[in-house]
Amino acid sequence: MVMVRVDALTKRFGETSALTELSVEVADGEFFVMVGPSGCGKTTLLRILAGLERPDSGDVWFGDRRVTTTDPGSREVGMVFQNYALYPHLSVHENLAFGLRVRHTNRNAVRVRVAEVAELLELQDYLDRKPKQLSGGQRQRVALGRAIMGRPQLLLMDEPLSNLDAILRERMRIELRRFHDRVGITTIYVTHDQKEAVSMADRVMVMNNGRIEQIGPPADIIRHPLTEFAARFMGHPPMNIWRAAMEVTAAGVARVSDGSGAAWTVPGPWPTAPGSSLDVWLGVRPRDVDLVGPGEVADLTATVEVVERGGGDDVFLHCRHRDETLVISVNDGRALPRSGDEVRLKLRLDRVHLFKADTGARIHPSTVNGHAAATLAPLLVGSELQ
Amino acid sequence: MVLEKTRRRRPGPSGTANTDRTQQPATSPGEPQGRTAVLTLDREQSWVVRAVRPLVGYLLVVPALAIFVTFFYIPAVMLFVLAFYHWNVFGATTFRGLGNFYTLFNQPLYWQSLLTTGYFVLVMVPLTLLVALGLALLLREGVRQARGGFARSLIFLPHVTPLIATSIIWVWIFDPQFGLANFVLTHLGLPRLGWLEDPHWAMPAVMLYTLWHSVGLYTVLFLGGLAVIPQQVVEAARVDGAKTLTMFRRVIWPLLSPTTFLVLILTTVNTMQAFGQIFALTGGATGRGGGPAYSTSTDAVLIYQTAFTYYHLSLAATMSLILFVILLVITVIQKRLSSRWVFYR
Repeated sequence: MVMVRVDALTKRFGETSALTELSVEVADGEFFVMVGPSGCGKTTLLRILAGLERPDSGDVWFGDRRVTTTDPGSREVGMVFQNYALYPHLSVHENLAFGLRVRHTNRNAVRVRVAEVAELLELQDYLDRKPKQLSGGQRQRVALGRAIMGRPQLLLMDEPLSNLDAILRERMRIELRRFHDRVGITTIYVTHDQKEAVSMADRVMVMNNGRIEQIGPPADIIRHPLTEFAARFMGHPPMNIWRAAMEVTAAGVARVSDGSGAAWTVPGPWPTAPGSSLDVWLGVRPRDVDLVGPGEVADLTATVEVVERGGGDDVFLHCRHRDETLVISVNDGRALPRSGDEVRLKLRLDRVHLFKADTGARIHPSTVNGHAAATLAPLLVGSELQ
Repeated sequence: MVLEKTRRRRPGPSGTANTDRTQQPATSPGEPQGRTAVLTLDREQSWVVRAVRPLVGYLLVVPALAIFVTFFYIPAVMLFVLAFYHWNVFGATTFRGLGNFYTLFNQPLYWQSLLTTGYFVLVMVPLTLLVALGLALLLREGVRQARGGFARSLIFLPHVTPLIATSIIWVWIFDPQFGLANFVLTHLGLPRLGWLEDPHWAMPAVMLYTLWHSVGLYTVLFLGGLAVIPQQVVEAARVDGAKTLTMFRRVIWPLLSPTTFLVLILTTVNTMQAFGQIFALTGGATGRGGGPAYSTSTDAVLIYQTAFTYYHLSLAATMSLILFVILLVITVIQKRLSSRWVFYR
């Protein structure tokens, strides 16, 4: 088990830069998930941690050991590849034993360790089979077993569940997390699926264009996204985000309007001087929008286009508000609007997110439950969302 | 396990998997409407189309088959018959039974030609394999790091040049007086060689040419074999701690084995039948054939001379038959042994 530190890592492939001055620390024993769209650099970072790629500059530390230029085989890491990458010509037993054999481990010790890992992952019955004779889930477990055979200090996983069908994927998510908790190994996991990130991670790192958008516990990022990108990427269904203008009044509150006639007063305090106006992204999660009845005050009106049932009690209304599609989460069981109906909506102002239109950065201090984020931040990281 | 797989591969009403195959060409009237687009189309086709349809496959292979039958299978069968007769084009054809075999086995020159062929094959097969594999490994590294495409073309180029034309060029190269080969040797401080005129060096010279001419093909085959080895598997082995040599021995080599097997069969067959370059390099021009002291008289060369210099066509047929049997036996043995070391994914 080891703490991992990455220091100002930069990696370019020809003209495109995969990683730019990236620094991050992963705690000992942590389940750390790197998430982002394809091409965001998450896999490159994982490969650099494995030693399969050399960074152009910057350093990788495992504990006190600088491993930037260390061979993959000497780093004491285990890796699970997206396509499992099992040795197709070797049996499960030989696949598991490969690393130890290469390192000239004593024959008996290899046998004992194979038996141990096979038992841990319930592979005893398949030891003589070739990878071709295994199902996806079984291959997945062999790949995981092979990765932990040499008792690595760090376990790296590159989208290990993406080749499984939906049901198996859900189950393996729990299995992997349970496995991590039992073995306690520092795990760095790459995925493009925010759902996986949310359900498995101690902490998530949202990446985009080779840079870090935000690092934190998944619930933190969902409640308090620091960038417009992180806000859009994390959470399901995705946050509704549309363009608006914001003006800070003399009273220190922000007047936000999106040009449709709708306007909101969002309490501050705001860092910008009174009177200044700013182009912003206005964001609100589907569950933070309420349907209001005819008698009440509404923020805006929209037309329902699709009524999507989530399977359980959740129903998502996809509504048209000018050029934007807004998704609203409502509970089933009440009189639901139908497609084509006009609905009146009200935003929960204490859950509204504002990001600068040009940089996408969150405008501080934001409001979470009506408090300034600056004072809230430590609280969020600490107890509230564990 | 197997059942599960089949079911997953062909989705559709369970239990129809068996009948599917037999019913697809002929549409039975009981088929539910519009099961697939193809079946619907079938029903609308005229009886002519339906009658011809099963024959289409045969019609398509007829042209190729006709050429093969006329120019290959019939002569091949005739050759096998001829092997048991006496026929020298001009005289009468008489049945000799195993007489031709008796004559051959009493000919020291025939035995020598078999030995020469063996020498050629036993050197060329491993040599070609090693050089081609080595070049492929180097090229792959080159392709990954810089521009190896050009080098790959250069190595493949000799293979597409005409055998006889380039052989003649190599006759000049091997010229003891003015040739490039001896020029290089003397500049390296080594003694000059007689090459094609020296009974000991004629065969190595032929081998050198053959390697130059054929190695490109096998290099490209190996490159193809290397390209289909999944990169992630190689990376997994690196993470597992495999260094270059272990990587080659325990990952690359086993995964490359189908290609290696193919190259093995091809080089064996091609070297056993090698004729053109030997004929052109050693004595084509002079009509002697087979080099100094018959040192390059392989089986194939001797067959040619027997048939077209001495017109013992039936004796040549017998030799061809024996060569065919030898090749067949070797190939079957190689195939049998292959199950022990060739891994098909």
